[in-house]
Amino acid sequence: MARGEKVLTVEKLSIDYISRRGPVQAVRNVSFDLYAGENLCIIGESGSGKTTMGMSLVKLSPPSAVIKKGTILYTLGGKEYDVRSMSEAQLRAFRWKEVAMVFQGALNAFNPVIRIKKQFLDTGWAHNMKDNKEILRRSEELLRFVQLDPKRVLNSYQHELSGGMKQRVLIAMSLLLNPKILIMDECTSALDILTQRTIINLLKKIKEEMGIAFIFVSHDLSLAAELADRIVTIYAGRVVEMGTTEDIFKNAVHPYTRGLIKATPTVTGNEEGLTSIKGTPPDLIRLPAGCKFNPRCEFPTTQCYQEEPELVSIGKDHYVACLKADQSRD
Amino acid sequence: MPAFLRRLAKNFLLRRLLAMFATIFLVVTLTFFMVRLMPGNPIEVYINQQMSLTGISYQEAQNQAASLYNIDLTSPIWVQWVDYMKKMAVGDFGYSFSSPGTPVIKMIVDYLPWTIFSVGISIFISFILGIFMGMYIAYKRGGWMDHILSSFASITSSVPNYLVGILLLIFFGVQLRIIPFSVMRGTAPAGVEPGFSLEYLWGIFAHAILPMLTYIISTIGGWILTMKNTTMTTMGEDYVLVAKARGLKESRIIVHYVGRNAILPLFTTLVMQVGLLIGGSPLIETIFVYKGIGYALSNSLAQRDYPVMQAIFLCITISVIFANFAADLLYSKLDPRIKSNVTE
Repeated sequence: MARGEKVLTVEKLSIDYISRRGPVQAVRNVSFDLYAGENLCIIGESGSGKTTMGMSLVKLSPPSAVIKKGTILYTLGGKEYDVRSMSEAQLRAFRWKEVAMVFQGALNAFNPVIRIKKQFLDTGWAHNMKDNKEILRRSEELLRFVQLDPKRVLNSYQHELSGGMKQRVLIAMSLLLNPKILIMDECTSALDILTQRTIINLLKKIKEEMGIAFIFVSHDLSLAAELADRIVTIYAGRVVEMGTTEDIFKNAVHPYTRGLIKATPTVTGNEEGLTSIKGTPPDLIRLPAGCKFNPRCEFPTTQCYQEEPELVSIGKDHYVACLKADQSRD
Repeated sequence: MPAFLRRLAKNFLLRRLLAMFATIFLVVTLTFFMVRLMPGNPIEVYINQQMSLTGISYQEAQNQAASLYNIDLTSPIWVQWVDYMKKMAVGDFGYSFSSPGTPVIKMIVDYLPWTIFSVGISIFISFILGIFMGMYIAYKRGGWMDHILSSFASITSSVPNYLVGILLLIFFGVQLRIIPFSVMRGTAPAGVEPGFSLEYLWGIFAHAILPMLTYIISTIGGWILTMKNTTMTTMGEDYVLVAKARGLKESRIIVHYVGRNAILPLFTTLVMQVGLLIGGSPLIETIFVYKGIGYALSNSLAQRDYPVMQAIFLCITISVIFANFAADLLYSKLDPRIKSNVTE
């Protein structure tokens, strides 16, 4: 795949939640890059810190989440944006214009007492689009693009739309200002299988026609298989494997990634081939010593209980954080 | 059933109106009988007085009383009830017992405006101040203003309003002597011609200031706490987070995304309070000798003045029922989600 320029660099990002029992280490030392026009999928179980990380990319994580260290650096249109050092006003102008984010909670993403039309206008106004006609023309165009009836949707309140419609309206709205990057957090999880299909096709269309760089945050590996160029697997707030979609599905090295693939049903496979990963995700306040995956790993060694593996390159664009990467690579 | 009748039966407004009239009818009937079950009867007292004073027979004394109070005492109670209902339907509430010759309706017209004036302004001020303070401390929670206002609100909303009234009276009237409460009895300044003169308007404000202060202090805490609560809940809603992600200005989010949604549940309470306003507060108005409808009610209760009591209860009933109705209509205007219920 021809790669565009680097648009986002996340380096050594660590985020803690302050809690009474102590810091919850939701994101630990995460580094990855995003290239123009690329689809990057961040995969992890619930509670693995992936949503926290997604939110922090536009500095929207809750006040109790503290970025301990690391950099989030965007290079967009020849300008550099260091998210951590931006002021509130700069951030406000930056959000949605450069990086839009479609949330998990799309079912409740719109103000219930204001019509959708007004919310499109609100979005435009916030970013200095003065001409109402122009905002509405663009909104209608985008709503048609997501296969909705613009007149009907714009005059609706959110309770008059179905879940799938709301998700599509939010996607249309996210494109209103032509963002360069779109972050989608579990954008299909609350939807039925047919609506999920519609959304996935829509996202493919956006990718092909608009050349926006995507970051998908999801637990759904089959979604990643379909949409992603590269996949990052996160376990206990840490990147455990990163590689192209082909690398991950054909030559996964980390036992966690392998477990995830084994737990994903395929169209041709039967249910007997499915195995879930035993155990539960670790307590992010009291993480186990050594490799954080050791309690659930099938073949841990003594070293695994003492030493936390670093993310190392094991091939072109293929990185893994496992002490036994050499052995398990057969 | 013909189509138009069926449509009529389904009409929301008509159904509501019928239900309202049924409720009023029921309440009037119940008050009529309940008032008469209360011990003590001013007419009995009058009859006994006349008998002992002038030595006339019970029959004669009763006739005198009946003509004086313009009331039928001998017929069975249900005949009296039918009679009362008939007169009430045309707006005739009879005459006051305690001040013979005064039509009840005139008393209501004299007393009621003062209550509407004082309580109405208090509810308005209290609501406006309360929601702003509640919203402010929701945004600055944990700050010193939050601590001060939240404790103030919890304390004032749990102290009964008459105690607040008495404390104000003692503090401003007796201790500090800022307010000359002996001059401040009543509702209007003495010797000033009623009208839109500055002097008169200032006078009626000065007379109402203590009752109003009492109402505001005892209700504002509720508004502050409720508004703080609903604002904090709304701030956690997904659409507020999405609005931030959309890069909306903070002021727009506060007013249109958080404010509008947080205030919705408070409107019902507000309109219901406006409904209760007609009843005034017998205790507060008695403490400050403020001659509003509550004062009239407590006097009529003490003197067993049935016609006045019944008329005031009727006023309260009607206003509460209408406030309820208004709350429903208003809510459907404010919240698009429940529109379908009204226009079904």
